[in-house]
Amino acid sequence: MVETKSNSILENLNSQDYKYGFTTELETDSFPKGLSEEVISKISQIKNEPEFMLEFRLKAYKAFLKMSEPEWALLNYPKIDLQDVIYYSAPKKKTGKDSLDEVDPEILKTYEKLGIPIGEQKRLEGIAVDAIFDSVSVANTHKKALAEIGIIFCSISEAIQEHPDLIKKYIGSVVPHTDNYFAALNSAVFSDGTFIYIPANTKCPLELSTNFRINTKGSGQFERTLIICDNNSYVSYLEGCTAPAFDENQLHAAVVELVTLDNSEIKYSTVQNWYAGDENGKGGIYNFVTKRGKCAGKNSKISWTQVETGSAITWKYPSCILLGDNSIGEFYSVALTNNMQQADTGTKMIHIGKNTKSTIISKGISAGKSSNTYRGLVKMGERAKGARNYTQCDSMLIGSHCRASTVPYIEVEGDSNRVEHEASTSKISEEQLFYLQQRGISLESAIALIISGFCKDVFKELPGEFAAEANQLMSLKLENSVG
Amino acid sequence: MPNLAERNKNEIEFIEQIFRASSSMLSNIPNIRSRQETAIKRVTELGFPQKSSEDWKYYDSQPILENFFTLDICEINKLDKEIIRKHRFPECSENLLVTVNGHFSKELSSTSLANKNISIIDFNDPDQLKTHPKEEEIINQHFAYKINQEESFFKACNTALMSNGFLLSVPDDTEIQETIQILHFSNESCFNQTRSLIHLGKNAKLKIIVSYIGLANSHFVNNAVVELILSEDACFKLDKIQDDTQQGILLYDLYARLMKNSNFEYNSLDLKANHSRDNIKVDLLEPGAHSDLSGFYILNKDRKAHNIIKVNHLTPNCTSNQLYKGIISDSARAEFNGEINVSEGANGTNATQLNKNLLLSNNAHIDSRPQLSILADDVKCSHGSTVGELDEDEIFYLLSRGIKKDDALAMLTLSFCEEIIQKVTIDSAKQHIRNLTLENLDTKIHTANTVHKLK
Repeated sequence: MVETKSNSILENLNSQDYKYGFTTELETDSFPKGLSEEVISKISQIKNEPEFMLEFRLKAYKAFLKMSEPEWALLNYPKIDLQDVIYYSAPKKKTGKDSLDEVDPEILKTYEKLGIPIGEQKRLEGIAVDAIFDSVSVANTHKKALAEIGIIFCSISEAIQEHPDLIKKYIGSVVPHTDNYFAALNSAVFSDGTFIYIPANTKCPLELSTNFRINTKGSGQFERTLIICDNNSYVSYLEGCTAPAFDENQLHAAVVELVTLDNSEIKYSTVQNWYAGDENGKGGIYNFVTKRGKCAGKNSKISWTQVETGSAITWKYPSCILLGDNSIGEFYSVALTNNMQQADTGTKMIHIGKNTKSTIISKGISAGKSSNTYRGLVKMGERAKGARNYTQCDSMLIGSHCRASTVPYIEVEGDSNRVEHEASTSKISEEQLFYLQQRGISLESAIALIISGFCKDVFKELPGEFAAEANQLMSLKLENSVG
Repeated sequence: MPNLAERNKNEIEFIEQIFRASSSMLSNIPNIRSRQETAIKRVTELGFPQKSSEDWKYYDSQPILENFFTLDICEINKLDKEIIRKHRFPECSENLLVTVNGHFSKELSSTSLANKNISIIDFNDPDQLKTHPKEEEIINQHFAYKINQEESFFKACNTALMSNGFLLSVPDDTEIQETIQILHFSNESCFNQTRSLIHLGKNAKLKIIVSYIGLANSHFVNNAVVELILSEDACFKLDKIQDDTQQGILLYDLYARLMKNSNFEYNSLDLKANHSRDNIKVDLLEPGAHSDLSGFYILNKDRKAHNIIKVNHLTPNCTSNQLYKGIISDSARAEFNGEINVSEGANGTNATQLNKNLLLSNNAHIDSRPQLSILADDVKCSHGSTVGELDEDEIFYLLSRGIKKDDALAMLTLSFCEEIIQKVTIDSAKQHIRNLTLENLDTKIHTANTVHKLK
């Protein structure tokens, strides 16, 4: 009885509307479609970049031409025509960033709809926001207050102008321009992104946040984020992503690089809610992202938390290179796929320094006809004496047409290293549902409750109010099905 | 079809040699012959396995290529009966099958098997088939099953080059009480094609212990293929002991197909070869089938062991377990690549997978890949993998009880693998395995004293 009911509910999974699927009517400056050396030079020129950046871009482009699209992921999609993508699109009205008055009111409205606190009145919320609209950064709050304590929080274009030394030193130091197909493409054409530098002995007093929005039809978004945390410092950063609902696919190929020096910590959280396409798999974002952090200093720590609910295709492996002795890498992930969504996501923990530790908690939920894969690497070299890893990756299946896969790679050398890996796959048990229902909880709330419990280990890592938001998002994504 | 121009010279040479050799190896039995011809085609289509393929990522197949063996298929060599006596387990002295360099030898095998209701058919003997129509049907149906879609290069090689393997068939409702021992000897430096087809009828029960024994002092490759069919309610247990010399390479391919409520138990004990590669595939084809795969590898020096395991749950209500344990020392290297695939609709599946490893030296290396791929929602699957060293607390506990350190280490190491050794059917085989295990451990740990205590 319960089963038939829950089944019929599960079949309705699809009817959920994407709340952020609206478009904003704006005049934009867009390049014609296509990729060439000329386009790259033009991007660099528009941004008024120093010579070394253009060199970096062209070097990456040359490397990119020799590469081919990776095919090892458990993803099925038609080949992306990279000549059919707009590589640069920006709102026409010149936007100064010192005052929000100069920002196009249409854009402000957009962010208001998205619930992003970039308005001055929200200054008290304790979150500094950088907002990226298509290819450029349009608003950046709290900049002055942060600058007073030496924190640099700005768009990467600005950083290239104002802090070329830092950029030159760190860009490509974690994800080299030759790293992979999509990283090379990003290195060649990236348009904007966020740059954060936390000076030594500073604990960033605010949560820093970026909101990415793809608006123009047919445009790709190639942003680049670089966060450097100097000795004895700490920062927590949150990124959010949304896009309008178009019936054609859009490409998002970002690169994120994190560097922590001695005794410092970066906490990086993502709530990814790109448009996922309709129930037949039409439209949606192709999300091919390279995220990597380098614990370069001793006792440093990088923690990735991600809630992946959007995108038609997700190809994303936030990783940690644990170079410094006693450094720590963490990865907490919830990936939810519904309808025709496909996700191949996980992490890489490369243990190089002594006594390095890593924790991986991954929760995958598949519903509808979707496919959800955890793919992770734990590697310990012989130099990594006393390294430890604990991995737990659980999958939950809702409905009988979805797919869950777990593909871990564990490569260990040396007798003092320890790895533990465990994983399980299950469905929501009838007993649990029955128990909650006989306590008077409706079927939908019961399922929502169970899912929220399933994801608890990850949500508790999210900064304050975002945990609540993530819970809501999960319910929303599975509305009419599980909550 | 792989582009041969991109392949290195050795690989092309290798395939060409197979091509040449196979023409003289074609069987007289039309049904076998036609599949061998398909297999040759498949060899050229597949091409020598490349590291870029996920299943061969960690395997270095260059030693096979480096032409240290001749592709001349050795004639059946004379083998001293004394050697056989040395290697057979006393419990199985009357139930012995022997192959030498991939050739089934009737003379060396026990003759009493026929009385026990088991048919042993030599693939190289068309006359024997004429009097066994049932067995002929089994060969027609199951030998080199779906060879035109074969994905394994070495299995295709084996099919193309094998000359006299055997069919072992147990009729319906027959239970064979005694354990049968199969001894595969390699005493020449060559590329052996060992082949067997095992068929259990409805409600048949059988236990086999197989040993791969290397006698040659020079390099050799043993390319073994076993095809296995378990009919409804059949019950089969297979222990495989790998007892080759340090010069031996064992490529072992087992493909089991399990029908309704059948039960398959497999223990692989990898104790000696230079390197070995187990490629195990189990298809659970009908409801209620159960497979239990376990393995133990102990590696020292620069030896390598690769276990590639695929269990496919194709229908509802099947269960499967995988348990692989390994001890790796010196600069040895092991790979565990296990997969559980649950097809759409295979509800009620219950599958587990566990890989545990002890690394005893700083250059020891393990690549562990426990994988799940699930397309049904009403399933219970779990997997786990651990890598570590001996627990200091456990060592301390034993030391505090007055046990010498070397003995303590040996006890803990042996108890780690005892879980698998206990699964072996025959007692004398268990002891043989323990002895080989201790031989493989660091000599510091290896004391006669310990062996005695553990008895």
